[in-house]
Amino acid sequence: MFDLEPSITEWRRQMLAAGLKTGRRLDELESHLREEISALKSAGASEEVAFEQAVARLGSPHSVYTEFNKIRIDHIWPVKIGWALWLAATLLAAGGLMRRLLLAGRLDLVLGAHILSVIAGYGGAMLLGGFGILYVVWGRSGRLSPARRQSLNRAVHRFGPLTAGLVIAALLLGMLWSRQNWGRYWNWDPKEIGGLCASAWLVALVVMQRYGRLSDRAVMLLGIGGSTVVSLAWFGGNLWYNYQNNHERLRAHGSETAWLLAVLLGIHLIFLVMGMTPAREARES
Amino acid sequence: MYSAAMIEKELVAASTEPLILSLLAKGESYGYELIQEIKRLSGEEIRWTDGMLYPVLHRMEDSGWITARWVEMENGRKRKYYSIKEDGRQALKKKREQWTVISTVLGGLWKGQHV
Repeated sequence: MFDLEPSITEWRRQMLAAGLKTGRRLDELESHLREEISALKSAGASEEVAFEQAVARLGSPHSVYTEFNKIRIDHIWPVKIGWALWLAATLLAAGGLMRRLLLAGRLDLVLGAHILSVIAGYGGAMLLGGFGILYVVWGRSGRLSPARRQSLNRAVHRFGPLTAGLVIAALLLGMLWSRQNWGRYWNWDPKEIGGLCASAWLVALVVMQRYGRLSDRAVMLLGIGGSTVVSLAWFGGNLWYNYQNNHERLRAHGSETAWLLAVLLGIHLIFLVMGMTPAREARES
Repeated sequence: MYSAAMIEKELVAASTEPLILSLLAKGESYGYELIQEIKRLSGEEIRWTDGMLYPVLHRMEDSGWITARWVEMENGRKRKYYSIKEDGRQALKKKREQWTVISTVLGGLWKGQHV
């Protein structure tokens, strides 16, 4: 006696064995298979015949895998270098941070995890901004080929949620540390406000890219905007915090931080304005 | 990649993206429905091999032309619906211009000719 559900489970197993590892892709193919089976049954076929015909029409596991493999995106080198730099910077920061905390004799895990997620999250947001800037530069100079466009789109699609998650984790860990040390989760200090703004912006970027109908350019501009907000949250937040609480530190490092912030804001502003005009056609494929 | 009863597979392959974009410009849809709609509109002369449509849809999604969302149906099953984005409309406009040129040229050449 034919049983449909075990047959579909076996079909999924064969697809996985052929190399189709992405569950979401398989879910979509299964959804299609079930539609086809229903249609064939409505036309009078038995469940077993309908299943066999639907599987045959969908194609063999190997042929479906081969077709999916053709659309695999090879990332362009600036994206690969960006990833590598971000990872290296995060690991270096983590090592340096642990060393400093150990030397100071105060290994506070919550504080350590907070600072690390700030560095990784804010660094990631700046990398997203960098991808956005590349998009604008290539778009304006007519060198935004389909391969570059796809690679940048995919990089933002993959990296956006990770970055947003890290910034949100940083915010929550900061709140926890604040509760443990100052007795309150939230103090409305500049760094907290900056973290909240950065989190909100990055979540909006991820939601807009995944569920909105925004153009690539709009998403990339949101990426540059996110990097701008993070610059303000990171360096502006520190400046404001030191202005309120640590004048000695402000005198020692304030002008350098202010210059860095001004340069970053200026660069972001230039590319935001450049990006407002539509990209030109790519001259190369 | 494609099988076509009457139309050569290269031509079917070249027309896949403009066909998908044109259908999605009319409203959101899912893979199975797109295949059925093309079959119906072409009088079954264009037949996409079922499993091969999805990589094309995913490539178009990666290109930022279309977007997708999962919808839970009344029977508890899920369907992935695709809809066109602004970049997809721009791409469709460009493809439409190109296909119109080809169609016009061929139409002019074949005017009054009997094959």
